[in-house]
Amino acid sequence: MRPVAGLLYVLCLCGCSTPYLLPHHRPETRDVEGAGTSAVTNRSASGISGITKGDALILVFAGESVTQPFGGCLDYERKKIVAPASSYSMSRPGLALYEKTVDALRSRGYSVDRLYLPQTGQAAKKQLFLNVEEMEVYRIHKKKGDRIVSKAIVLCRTGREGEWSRQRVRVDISAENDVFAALAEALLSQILL
Amino acid sequence: MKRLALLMVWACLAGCNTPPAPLQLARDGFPENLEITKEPYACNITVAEVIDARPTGEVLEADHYELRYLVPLFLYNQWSGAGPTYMDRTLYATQGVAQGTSALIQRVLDESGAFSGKGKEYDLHVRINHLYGVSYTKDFWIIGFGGAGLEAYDFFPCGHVELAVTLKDKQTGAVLGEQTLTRSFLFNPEQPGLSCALAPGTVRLLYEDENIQGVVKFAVREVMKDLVKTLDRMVASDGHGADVTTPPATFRVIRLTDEYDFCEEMRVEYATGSILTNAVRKYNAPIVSRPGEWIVLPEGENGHWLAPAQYRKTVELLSAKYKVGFADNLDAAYFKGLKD
Repeated sequence: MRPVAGLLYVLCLCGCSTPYLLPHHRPETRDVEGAGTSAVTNRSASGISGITKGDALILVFAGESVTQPFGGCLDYERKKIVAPASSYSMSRPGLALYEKTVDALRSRGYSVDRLYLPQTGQAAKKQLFLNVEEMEVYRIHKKKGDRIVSKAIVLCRTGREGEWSRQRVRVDISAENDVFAALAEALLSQILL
Repeated sequence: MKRLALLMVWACLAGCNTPPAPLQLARDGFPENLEITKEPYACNITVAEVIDARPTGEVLEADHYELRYLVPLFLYNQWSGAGPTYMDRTLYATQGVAQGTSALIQRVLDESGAFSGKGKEYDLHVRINHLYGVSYTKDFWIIGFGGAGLEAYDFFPCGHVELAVTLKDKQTGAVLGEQTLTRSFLFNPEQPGLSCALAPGTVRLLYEDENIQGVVKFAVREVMKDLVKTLDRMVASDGHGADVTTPPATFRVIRLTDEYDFCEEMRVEYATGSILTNAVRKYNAPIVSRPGEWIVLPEGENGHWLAPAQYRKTVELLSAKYKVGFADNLDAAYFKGLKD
């Protein structure tokens, strides 16, 4: 009888833990980083050049170009895709990240103008382009409060065409506060040399 | 009696799973409440080229995973799931996505009233970077000694469209503007045309194919409205539209709601500063401001989206009487009411 009980125990253990073993039940481990298909002519792991402390900048919203569905988290409890945080924009997460990046740049001492439609660009100031190529935000349920994990791949460049740099950022926060502000801070810590 | 009831349930399920008619982009993607502009610009825009540049995975892949095991005579257990599962190719019309999009855009341009179809000729080049509906499912079932259990979930599908558009002067080939337009649409059970009906005993959505077609359809409709405004602005920048010499009789100020989809809009009478109308409405134009920021809407009284030069002149004229101007937003002017 003991071997059967042991087998049952192992089966139960496997059964209960499978949701954590399968990749799609652990969305935070999913690889979104290989999904981007945009051409990046000059990749840089360390950041982008041409921006110095205190510059007057134009932050240009170059677009949301995602290759996988984004904008929501798979909420197994509520059986649907839901917005993971109260501050979250379901339909325009790229724009939400853009706005928070503007704020984060300002808090670092830069003077920043916003430009949503690139063809009206002004050449007088240094331009920093942001293209949100990929973004995933997930909520992970825990007994004591939710944990929110967010990943983004953002393409950045300074004014010159063909100098894109791909940045991968990931944040992991425990409260339903501003996941985009956290992402923006993480992004800037990578791109500003 | 039980057998009859069971048979009826199965018949119902089979009926609900009949494949829907293929999605005809030219027909189904046409926005129902497209704004019609009354004074068209004297020009003609022809859809010269539509390139289907969707990544291969987006067209073909269904990311499916499964784990199962069997203990003979004792237990069978299976976990499976799929997602992101992109909309099946058979759910699109056979004419193809590029061809359907081309026909749709031409129809939208013709019926928008923004362009007369006569006069200066422009070519529109469109690249479909993304166009998909996507769904996720999860199943768990177990048949054991003396019992069985089933759990099946469908997560709400979402649709996403991204078009890169380039407008060129047909005669010279000069590029007048380039813009990337994106829209996402998350399944909404309240939306007419989508269904939240569940299969008996599960949380699996019925009408799965119809729903995934639906989210694609609504995303396409939204992006079509953006397209008209975007082209309107590009064409206006090429010398169409009258010079702004006097302040408008009325102008509109808006602020976006947090999700960017809606805006609060007030129409203001220039002479008196009176608010003539105040309403919350769907926002169907390129985003040029952050949520909560009051701006002067870059749209003329005739419904045309203003060229940057026209808009700046309008703001300059309004500034004689109102607190308006450009601060840190280069696309839209702030509005802070009447001057003291």
